[in-house]
Amino acid sequence: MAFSNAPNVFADVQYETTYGSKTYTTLSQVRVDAVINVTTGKNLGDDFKRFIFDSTFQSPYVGQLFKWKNNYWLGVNSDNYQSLGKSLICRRCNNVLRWKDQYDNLIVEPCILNYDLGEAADYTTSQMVMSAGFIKLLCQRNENTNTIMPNKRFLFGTPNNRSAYKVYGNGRKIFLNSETDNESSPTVSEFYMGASFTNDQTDDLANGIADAYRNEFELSISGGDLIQTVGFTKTLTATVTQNGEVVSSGLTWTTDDATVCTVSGSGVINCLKIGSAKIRCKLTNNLSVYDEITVYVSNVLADDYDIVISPDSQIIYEGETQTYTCILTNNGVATGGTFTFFASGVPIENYRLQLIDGNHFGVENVKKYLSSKLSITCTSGEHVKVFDINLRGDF
Amino acid sequence: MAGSYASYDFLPQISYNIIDNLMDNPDAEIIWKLLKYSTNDDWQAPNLTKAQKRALMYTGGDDSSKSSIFFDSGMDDAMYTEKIYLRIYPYYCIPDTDYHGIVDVAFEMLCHYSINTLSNYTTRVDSIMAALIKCLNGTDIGGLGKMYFNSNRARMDKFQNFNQPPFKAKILLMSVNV
Repeated sequence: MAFSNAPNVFADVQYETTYGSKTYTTLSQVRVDAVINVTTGKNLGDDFKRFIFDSTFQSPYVGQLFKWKNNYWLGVNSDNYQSLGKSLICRRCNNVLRWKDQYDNLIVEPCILNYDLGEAADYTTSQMVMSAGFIKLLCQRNENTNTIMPNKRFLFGTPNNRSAYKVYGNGRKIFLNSETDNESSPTVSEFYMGASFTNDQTDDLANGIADAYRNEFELSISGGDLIQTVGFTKTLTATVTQNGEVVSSGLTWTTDDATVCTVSGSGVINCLKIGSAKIRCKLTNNLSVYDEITVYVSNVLADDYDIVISPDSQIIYEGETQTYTCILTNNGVATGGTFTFFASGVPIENYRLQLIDGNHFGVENVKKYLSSKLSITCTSGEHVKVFDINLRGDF
Repeated sequence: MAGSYASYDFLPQISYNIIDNLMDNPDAEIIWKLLKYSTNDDWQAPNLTKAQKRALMYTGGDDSSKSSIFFDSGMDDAMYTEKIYLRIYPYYCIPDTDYHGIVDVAFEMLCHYSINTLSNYTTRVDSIMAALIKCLNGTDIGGLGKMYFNSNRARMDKFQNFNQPPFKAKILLMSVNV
């Protein structure tokens, strides 16, 4: 009897071609059978299915992911050793885990939330009423889910109607290897989570991402758009901030028209012919964080002034002095303009402003001041820029 | 005149100023070492850099169980590693006049049993506590006043055990007149 000689053979089941790869290939034929609960004898319905593969298919395994009927399916029980058929009991993924990694990249993993919401209750303490309850979920063990640590929070529910859960301190069952001593072998991870609390300022309640706004990166290219002539070259600089504080991070520079203006890996642009090109700088570890400027290459230059202050460090610890360089540029080229510097915002006994020359000033943090920032107003003719500095203690 | 009464607006700065003092205090180096590392030879480890010290502090948001120094009491993240935690915060206040008060500052040290005993036959918690008293008793904390450890002046001043198995824990209470 041919494998396909049955009413329950489907040609639209997709399997993950390489474990953890997130790439799927359609199988020409898979039998999909009901799964019976051996204890009760009842059909487990559409949440559990046995996928039976023809002899040409590689051995299916626990932890393997499939796509079928608008759902992901996770292999939870295989029966292949010394068996004529190749089959895998799969469970329908009924939700997704969403979180952001350390570089603010969104990660999404299909998961199975168990049916029960354990001990959902409100507990009255002497001072307040606390929500409680726990859930268990299953997902593929892979390089993404292996990063889930205790205390990691997740949101489930519907848009703007979310519940938060947090992984228990010992709530990770990520050690059921399918090959005894291979901790990278395919398998299913289980996570146990307890009730947590939502925060409408730091959680993305619409999209269900906990702590979505706690680790935000921003990137800005110094100076803005440029109008230049053929042959102009300049090194562009970009500043990366994490939660408002300047950090160092890998950058990737690209141009959308290398015939007009090229850009090197270190941000050096070179104008080649008349036209315009967008120069984009991205965070290497999160390409969705970027800034871009337009370089207009023309015969005639138009004025485009900018004040560039370096270094961009905006924290000075108590007892330390930082010297800054302040340059007026026109179309990215230093004009030779000089500045006056004026400090405000902090009592004068807390800092010492050193006027070195028309392009350099130093700030000494004599005594920390945490209530407000020290503002240095840099003025060159009609061009003004205010630079804020935190006068911190030792941290 | 209400405007001249004590405002206590310095309260949020107390913990910061104490840590700030400990950052530079040579007698506090042992505290930093014992907070960062978790072997029984930590007492003779090299001194930490300022960057290493800064990295020990909890700045909010992330999993608090990974940090070592806190500016308040309690945490709602589960502890799952053998670590020590130091919490410094204003604990109690006796406002004895309109213009003056005594603020008791708590230093909570919680150390997992397994890492508390050091190879020099001392314990991590007691070593940190002794260093705190040595560094801060009689020391001005950032212009707020001198800290002291004297129950004749502030009846709350003391240290005592409050073990929470598997964590050894002590609370030290010192005071400052403000």
